[in-house]
Amino acid sequence: MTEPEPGDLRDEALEALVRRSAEQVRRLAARYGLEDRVDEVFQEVRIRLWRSGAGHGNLAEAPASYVYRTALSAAVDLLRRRRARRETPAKLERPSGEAVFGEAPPADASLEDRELGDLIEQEIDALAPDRAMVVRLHLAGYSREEIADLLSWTEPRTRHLIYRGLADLRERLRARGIGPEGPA
Amino acid sequence: MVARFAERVRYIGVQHGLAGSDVEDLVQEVRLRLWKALASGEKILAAPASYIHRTAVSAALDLLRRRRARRETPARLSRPSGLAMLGESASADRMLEELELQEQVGRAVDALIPARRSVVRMYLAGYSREEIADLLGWSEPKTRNLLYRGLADLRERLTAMGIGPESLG
Amino acid sequence: MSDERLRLSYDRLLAVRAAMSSAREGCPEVDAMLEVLRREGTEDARLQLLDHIMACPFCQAEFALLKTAGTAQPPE
Repeated sequence: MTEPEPGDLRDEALEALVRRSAEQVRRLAARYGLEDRVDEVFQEVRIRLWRSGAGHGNLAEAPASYVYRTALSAAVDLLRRRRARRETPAKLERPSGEAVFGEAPPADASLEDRELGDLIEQEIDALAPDRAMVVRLHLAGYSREEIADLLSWTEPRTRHLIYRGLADLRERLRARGIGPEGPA
Repeated sequence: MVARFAERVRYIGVQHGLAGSDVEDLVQEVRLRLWKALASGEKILAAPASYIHRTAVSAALDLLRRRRARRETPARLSRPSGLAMLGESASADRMLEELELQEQVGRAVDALIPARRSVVRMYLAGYSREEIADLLGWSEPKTRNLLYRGLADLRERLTAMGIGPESLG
Repeated sequence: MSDERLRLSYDRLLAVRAAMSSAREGCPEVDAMLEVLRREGTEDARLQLLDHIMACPFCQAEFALLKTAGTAQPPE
């Protein structure tokens, strides 16, 4: 599914309103270091407005309150989705295949989610310790800035370790026959 | 004793922002320093926790300074790190106090009575009195009252733990 | 000790807790957080939830996002 460009929205005034709303919420969220998440939320808002297929008329009637209602509902759905991907009955967090591979695991995967989660857990354990910690934090939903802040690392180092950590993990999982192409 | 000591040293490492292999390096470094200083397993076993703690903090600071000397531009921080707060030349003693303080603040907050505790937590998490009142649907006077009492309780507990208003500003 | 000093110490304490453990335990559902924001449910229940939220770095961030996304006023 492609992201609609701002110019695709038929009502330019509505797009301007979404932009203004996003800016306002971002200012509030800056206090908590949540700008990235707010950007995510407003991307979602744009998608919903686009999907609603409302003509110029409908949305133009009550745009402001609609955007703000949509923003909250988008935030809720975002958080629910993130949690659903990571929730596990066991004490340790289990990363989803999506989080590791950047795409959904194949529909015909023969391994159960739980087994896959176990395997991913094992392979994370086998990573070099600093990469393992960064990968865990990343999969738990922390942004790069949050991880850098938590561990008092520089941004370049954090970025590098997330990249290398995930690359290592993918490599290890492929060696065990698990990858986007499906288990061997 | 070794397991307990190693875990404690790791915790100190994480508090200083070390991670992964650096943390293990810290454990090794502390072992080395203890052996150099005390030269016998018996003496190490008998060493008080504060001595080990002090050694660990000092080693962690040295490790951090060595890494910072090699570092590029620092990450953008939304909140200052413990080390940034105390300055580059923080002594081990100062750092030690800071770390103990964090845990003591945590324990003291945990021990507050429930109604005051939630309000104090919200305040410490960065919410203003107005935001707290709004969140709970309370009047300003009620919120102010509970918050002031909660903070007073907290400070009383910290004083009883040996942390007074003059400590660390 | 000043309020600012207390806040800094508390903040670092939570950051360390988060770094030491990547697991979430006992966290309320997103819907429960929404109820707190809307002031639904008993006051006691809300206070208990807020007590956890404000002691848990994961919940704190989620709650803050919900709060800011939902309470910004339309520009006039």
